[in-house]
Amino acid sequence: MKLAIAGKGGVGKTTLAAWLGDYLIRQNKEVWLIDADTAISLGPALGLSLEEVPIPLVNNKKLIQERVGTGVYINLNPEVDDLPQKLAKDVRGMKLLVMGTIAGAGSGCGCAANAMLKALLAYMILRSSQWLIVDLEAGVEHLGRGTITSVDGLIVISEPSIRGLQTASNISRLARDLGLKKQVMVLNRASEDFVPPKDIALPPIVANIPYLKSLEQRQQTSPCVLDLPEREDIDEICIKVLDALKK
Amino acid sequence: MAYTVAFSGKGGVGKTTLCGLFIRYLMENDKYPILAVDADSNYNLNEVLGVDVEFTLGDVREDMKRGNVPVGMTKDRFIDTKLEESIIETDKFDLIVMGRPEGQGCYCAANSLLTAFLSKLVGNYDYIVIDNEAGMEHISRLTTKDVDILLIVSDTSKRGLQAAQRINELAQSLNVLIGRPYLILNNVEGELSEPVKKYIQDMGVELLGCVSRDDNILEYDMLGRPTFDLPEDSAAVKSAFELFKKIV
Ligand SMILES: Nc1ncnc2c1ncn2[C@@H]1O[C@H](COP(=O)(O)OP(=O)(O)OP(=O)(O)O)[C@@H](O)[C@H]1O
Ligand SMILES: Nc1ncnc2c1ncn2[C@@H]1O[C@H](COP(=O)(O)OP(=O)(O)OP(=O)(O)O)[C@@H](O)[C@H]1O
Ligand SMILES: [Mg+2]
Ligand SMILES: [Mg+2]
Repeated sequence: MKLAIAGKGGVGKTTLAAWLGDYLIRQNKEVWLIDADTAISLGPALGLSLEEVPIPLVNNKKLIQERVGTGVYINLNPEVDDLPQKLAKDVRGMKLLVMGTIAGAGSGCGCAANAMLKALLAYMILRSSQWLIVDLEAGVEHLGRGTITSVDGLIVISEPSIRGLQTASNISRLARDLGLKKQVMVLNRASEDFVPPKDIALPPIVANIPYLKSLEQRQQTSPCVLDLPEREDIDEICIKVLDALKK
Repeated sequence: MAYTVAFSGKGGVGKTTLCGLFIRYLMENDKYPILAVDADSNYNLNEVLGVDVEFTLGDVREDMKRGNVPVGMTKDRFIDTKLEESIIETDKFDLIVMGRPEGQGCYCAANSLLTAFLSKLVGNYDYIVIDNEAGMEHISRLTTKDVDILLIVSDTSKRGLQAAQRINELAQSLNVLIGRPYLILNNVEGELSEPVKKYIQDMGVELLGCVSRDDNILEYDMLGRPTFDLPEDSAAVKSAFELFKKIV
């Protein structure tokens, strides 16, 4: 199954992507993780040092020129079939692909990166034991550009703030316009009795991630979000999310 | 020339919140006229400021593309009128929201059309404050060109700081800055730890200062109240204003 995780900035997209990948790999599934955020933080969240994070795909100028072209006329359907195996980094058995910033590609145009990602997602057809999880950039841009039309499911995540929930709602609507109907909502750092305002339309809420002091403390010295003392509780959350998506 | 200040940083570190407080700081110090630019396609600066948005520059472009031009008006004239209309005027500041063009595929032509309008506007203001979206894509777009001060916001987490470092490196390498970058640490509780201090030192960006963690902000955001209206004696307002004093 191909999943994407979206939400407002800082709501926990990358954290949840790392947790899901880590859970699935321990269930002996094949896991692909795609970092589609220009700020590149999924690798570090999985415990890689900055030096170990693979060179972002779109910073590979030669590759982009070959596949997408540059300037005004870019190929929106680049060939990508050999890329996953060639460029993925192995992390704890998971395969990490980093799409990266557009700056390296020169023109200040995010289109090359988006075209690559879109083609990659369409190309990668998975068996049922294989999972692909895309960690998206904050906000609505990826949805607006239709980069993720070929994922099977969307996880929308938010904190209990109104701006976070409104973003979640916008994302959900844009995804539905793209034909992406399978959507679930995850709340992060909300109190257990929190109920979102009724006038904000959201996908069904399937899990609630509590505030983890251990995580906040860990992040002061390490970017890694795995191997927390609460791993069992985190696994429970992953199960709820994945079960809801499998339905 | 307008004095331009742009906010940047990892997602959710408080760019928009601080941008709102900065605009309030300018107002309280009689620094007018002010243009606020919301360059986040997922715009929400208006909510922090307590202003409604009727349409965005993205919507204007949509009208153009659809050719919804009224009879008796040239297309150029129509676009100009529409663009003018997209400026949200309040007593204290003007706000322009870039928004998000509809439709899929490449946005770049649209983006540059919109930024051209922006650069025409800037002459009318003394202060321009830009709220950017998370990540780094905007740095290489025109929207962050010619900024006097780039305020890179981070929390004290390692990943927040790593993102700040990347943004700084990228900004330097692209030469988009005519002024200088500063780092602001937001959501800070107590003293900075030694590893954080060390990290910042190695980063080579001057730390403008820290903004305190403030439960008032969370509460306002939970209720959907503009944080622009936070009480004057809130920890975040007080600490943020101390920092802003250093740049304006
Ligand atoms: N439940 C939680 N308890 C404590 N800290 C959390 C929790 N969820 C997320 N965090 C922390 O919040 C910060 C933001 O999380 P994360 O980077 O996963 O968000 P994101 O949505 O991917 O952000 P971005 O928009 O920058 O990509 C991180 O420092 C993370 O460790
Ligand atoms: N000093 C602070 N104390 C407590 N909470 C804060 C503080 N600053 C920001 N926050 C909280 O952090 C969250 C994110 O803030 P904000 O929306 O300003 O960040 P952002 O960087 O603009 O996010 P995005 O990347 O989505 O644009 C908000 O819910 C806000 O309540
Ligand atoms: Mg992230
Ligand atoms: Mg913001």
